[in-house]
Amino acid sequence: MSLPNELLIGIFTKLFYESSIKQFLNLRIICKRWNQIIPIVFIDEIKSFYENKLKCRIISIYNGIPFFVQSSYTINFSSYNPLTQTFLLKFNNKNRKLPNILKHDLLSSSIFLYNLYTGKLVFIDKIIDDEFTGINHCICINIKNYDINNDLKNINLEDEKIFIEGILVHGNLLSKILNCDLIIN
Amino acid sequence: MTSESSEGKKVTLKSCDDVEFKVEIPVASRSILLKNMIEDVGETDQSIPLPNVNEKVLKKVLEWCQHHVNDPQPTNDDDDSRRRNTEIDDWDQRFLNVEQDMLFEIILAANYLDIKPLLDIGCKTVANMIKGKSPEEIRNTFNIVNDFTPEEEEQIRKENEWAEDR
Repeated sequence: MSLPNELLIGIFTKLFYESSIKQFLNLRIICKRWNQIIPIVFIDEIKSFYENKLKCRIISIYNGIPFFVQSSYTINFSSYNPLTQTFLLKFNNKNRKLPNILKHDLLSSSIFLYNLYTGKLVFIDKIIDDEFTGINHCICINIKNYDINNDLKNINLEDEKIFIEGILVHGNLLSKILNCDLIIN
Repeated sequence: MTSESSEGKKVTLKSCDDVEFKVEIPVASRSILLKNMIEDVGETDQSIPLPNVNEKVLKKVLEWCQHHVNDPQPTNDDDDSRRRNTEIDDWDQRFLNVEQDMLFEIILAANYLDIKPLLDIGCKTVANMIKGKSPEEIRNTFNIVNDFTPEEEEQIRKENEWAEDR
């Protein structure tokens, strides 16, 4: 296609709102050029769509019993890496700090984003330090979906786990990303 | 060679292949680039050269500008909703029912001349040509060569597996 990248981005932006996430991301296989541009459009649109609209609540699950740990936090999409299938999410609370409980627990156990309504889980890969301040305020999530009823049986619930309960969003895009139903506020 | 589009105060535009078009200022002013130039230069007999647009495309673009001459000028506030909107009205659909090369040239000209609504419907038209097609159909439609190896293609498919259609 003889159009420059800036115009292809304009075209793909329109497609983003007209396609399912899968249809949209599958455009990556058209050619190497499209494969470079599609992920850029994808994360840009998600970032702008969910700016300060994504909220999560953290719960700790101990012996299979959930306990609320913290009140809600706002998180923002920061980037998407198609190769590792990870999103970088940035906590946007007052101090821009990752909740301590999450930071602490990641050292000893796995952490997931968790939707209580559907039981879908998204694995959190790592916490990323701010290179200038040293403050942890990013989590990197792997977007593989887990089924709480099946996959979680293989996870040792004797260990304390941290989960993020549900995700409150406007619109319906995140449900597609996480393949889960929404909790609309 | 000169072609006149309408009466009133006019400005002369010159395509890259040296064809002049006398155009009413409100029509030319659908282009933000031309609007600013006209405001900066004021009334002049000199033609405005458009080195990136040929006669055929300029004629087509001016036809669009003439049809939409009374539309309100878009504001920055419109940008967000416009870029997400994929609807095209009937006249514009017929207007853009052209060969693919011409469609791309209109888009490039709209971008160069800064005619956002025209650029927008051009992009929408291409988006609609992509929508619902298989990768192979898309490649055929736009003459795109698949430069992936089968392994690379499979890798991308795997990477996209998480995003299930519902």
